[in-house]
Amino acid sequence: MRTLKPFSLIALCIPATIACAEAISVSSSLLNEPIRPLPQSMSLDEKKVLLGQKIFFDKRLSRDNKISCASCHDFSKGGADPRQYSLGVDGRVGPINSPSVFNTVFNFRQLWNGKAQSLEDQVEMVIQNPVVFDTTWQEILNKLSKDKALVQDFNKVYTDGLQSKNIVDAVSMFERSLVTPSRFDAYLRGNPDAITSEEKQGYKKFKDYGCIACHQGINVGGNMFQVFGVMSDVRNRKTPPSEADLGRYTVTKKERDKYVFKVPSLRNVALTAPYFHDGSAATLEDALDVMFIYQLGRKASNEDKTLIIKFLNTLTGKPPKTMPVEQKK
Amino acid sequence: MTFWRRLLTASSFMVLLLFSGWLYYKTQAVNIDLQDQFTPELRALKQLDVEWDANILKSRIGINNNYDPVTTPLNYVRNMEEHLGLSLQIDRGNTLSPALTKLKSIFNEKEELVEQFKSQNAILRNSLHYFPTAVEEFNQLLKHAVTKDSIQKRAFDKMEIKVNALLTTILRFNLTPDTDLERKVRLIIDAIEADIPGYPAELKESLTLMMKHARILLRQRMKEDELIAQITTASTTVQGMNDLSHAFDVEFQEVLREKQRYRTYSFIYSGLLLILLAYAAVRQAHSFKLIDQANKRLHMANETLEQRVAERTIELEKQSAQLAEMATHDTLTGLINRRQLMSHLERALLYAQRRARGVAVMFIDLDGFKAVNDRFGHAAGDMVLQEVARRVGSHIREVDSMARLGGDEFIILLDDLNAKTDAVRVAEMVLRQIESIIEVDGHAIKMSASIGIHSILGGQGMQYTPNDLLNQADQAMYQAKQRGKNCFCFSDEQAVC
Repeated sequence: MRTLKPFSLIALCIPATIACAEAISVSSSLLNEPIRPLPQSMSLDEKKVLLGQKIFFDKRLSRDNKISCASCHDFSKGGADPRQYSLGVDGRVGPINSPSVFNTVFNFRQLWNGKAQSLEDQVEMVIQNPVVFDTTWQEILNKLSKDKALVQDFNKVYTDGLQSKNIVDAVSMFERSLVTPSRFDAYLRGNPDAITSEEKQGYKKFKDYGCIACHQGINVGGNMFQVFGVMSDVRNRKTPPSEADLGRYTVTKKERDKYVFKVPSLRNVALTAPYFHDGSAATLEDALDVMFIYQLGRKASNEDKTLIIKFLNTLTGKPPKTMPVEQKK
Repeated sequence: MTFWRRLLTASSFMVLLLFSGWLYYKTQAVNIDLQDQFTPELRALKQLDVEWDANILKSRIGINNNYDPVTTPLNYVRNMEEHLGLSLQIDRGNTLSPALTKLKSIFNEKEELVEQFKSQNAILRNSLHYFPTAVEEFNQLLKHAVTKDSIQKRAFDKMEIKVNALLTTILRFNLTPDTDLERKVRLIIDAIEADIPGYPAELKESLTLMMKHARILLRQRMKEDELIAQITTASTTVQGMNDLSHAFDVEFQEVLREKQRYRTYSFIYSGLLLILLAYAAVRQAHSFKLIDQANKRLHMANETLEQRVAERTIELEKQSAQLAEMATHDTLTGLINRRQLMSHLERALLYAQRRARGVAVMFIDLDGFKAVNDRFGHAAGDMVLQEVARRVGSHIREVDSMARLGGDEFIILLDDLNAKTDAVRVAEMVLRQIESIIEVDGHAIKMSASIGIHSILGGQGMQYTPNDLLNQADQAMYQAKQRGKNCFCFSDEQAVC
């Protein structure tokens, strides 16, 4: 009772200090751009990351033991789902297209509607979601506790061993490790040759056309909400609309949050087709067209679009270091 | 009995110990460091809030080119709220908890406002960024759409003026949004939109888009400034943090008072213990005093006992000396007795043998003693005997011994004798002395003695035993009796009377 956890003002200062140190060390060459580079490495507990990786690929997390986190977050597809809608247990079709799991640590919230405030929240939510894992912690713990090797691993890493909170912690630690610095980050860090002149032109177009208004910051998006359909009514896009189309409204039930979504990160966007919450754009070109019409209210030449797509390709990063081998079975 | 007493002592001691432990716990139960942790944490939160506001304003005026600076503080705010939650442990009066809840909800409201701001600001910035380009593009289109129709050309020129006016007015409005300018902008937009139907398709589309952006600018600017005002000027977060700070101070003071109270209790308790200790010390000192006194008395008793033992020892020694005297002396006359005489005789014989000297034994028997005894009683007889011993005894040499064998028989041992004549002289003295006793106990008496002498001369000592000497002297005494008493006879000669 008396031995309080010390107020972690210090702990709090650490990321800030690191950020500052980083900023200072590269300030001479770091470009002052609306997009900020990813850190070159994350300091994480390697053991937790590895344990989280195991869980991430573990199908016992689902009620029917058929899907794992990796089922909807394909590491060869930029950590996103190549299918229009993600499938849960019993082949149940989910309401949205799973976004990428890469770089999610830099998103201000998780899920398209921002329902999860943190990676940990997001893990908790998919466990019980009937169209995802549709199970309970009790069931998962029953299954996993029979796996002696796994129990032993947990005992090694966590003092209280196999617990739901530790599973959540390990998975989110693994997710924190999935950071994919790209050529464009090298460019932002002051290497002018990291991207071609066409790609530089594409970046300029990206800014000139106003894409940068929302897709900015360290994750090229992922740090704000925006209404889908700023310039034109998005309701005209398709019929019939689904509940998921209402976006953040499904969470807050506030009128102003109708059709509002978390602005997605554009990192690895070239790999994460199809696009939008409903996977309605099969290609980057399609997605770009939709953005120009509904968000920017502008027209762009095909030339410019091609340049922009070239720029977007520079955001494709190296796959995460701890690239796991998918489990067979 | 002692077991129960011990148990009682031990348990009382335990109770005292536990009580003092409890008091100590009470003074330590509250973490005083909490204030040192809470205050800087709240200060940091205030600082962060100010920086957050500053970053929002920077985004408003376009200094921040991305929203990370207005987004990331939220994580820190949540973190700090959690840390501030630790202060709830001192919440006695339940004022901290509501203050913290209030602050959290204030920050939640602020978060929502900031989210709206970001969304609005992005739209506004896009349109603001685009609008001058759009005007330029339209003007280019207008130039290319050169018409020979003079009326249309005048309309085009007018439109160019209107659009340019809209650009400048909108930019002015963006800098200083007021209702006048707003009305002006709205009027221009309405005017342009009224003209749109008469334009060729390409120009129509461009104008329509431009007007959309213009209306967005108009709408978003007002909305955004409203949001900014709500976020920054209301400063509800500051109020919330001040309230929390105040609640903490109140609770912390209460905690300090409680701590002080228990410290006072501890102090009083130690005072009581001290008194108890002093009492015990006094009791013990008293016990020591009693023991000391008892010791002294014991010591004195010891001394008395020793003295008495010493006295008794002296007495016993005296008694044993008396007994020794009685063993060697005749109690009535103080002369040596027969036993002692025998040892003297033995010694004298040994001596005579070694030095070649003479020894004589004189056997004295009183004449007429029986008559005195019969006529005047035993006491008178005893007196006569004592008188004989005294008178004769005082006239013999130091080296000679006089003994009483019992009754009226005396012996004189003459040691270291030169010649018989010496013995004759002594015998005459004895006779004279006894004859001189003429009165006893007031009665006139006539006393005399018969003496038998046996003498041996130098070097003959070992030929006789003491008994031989006595027997010889006894027989000589009988001769003297037969000769008519009051005379002496040598065992080897005629009696001299």
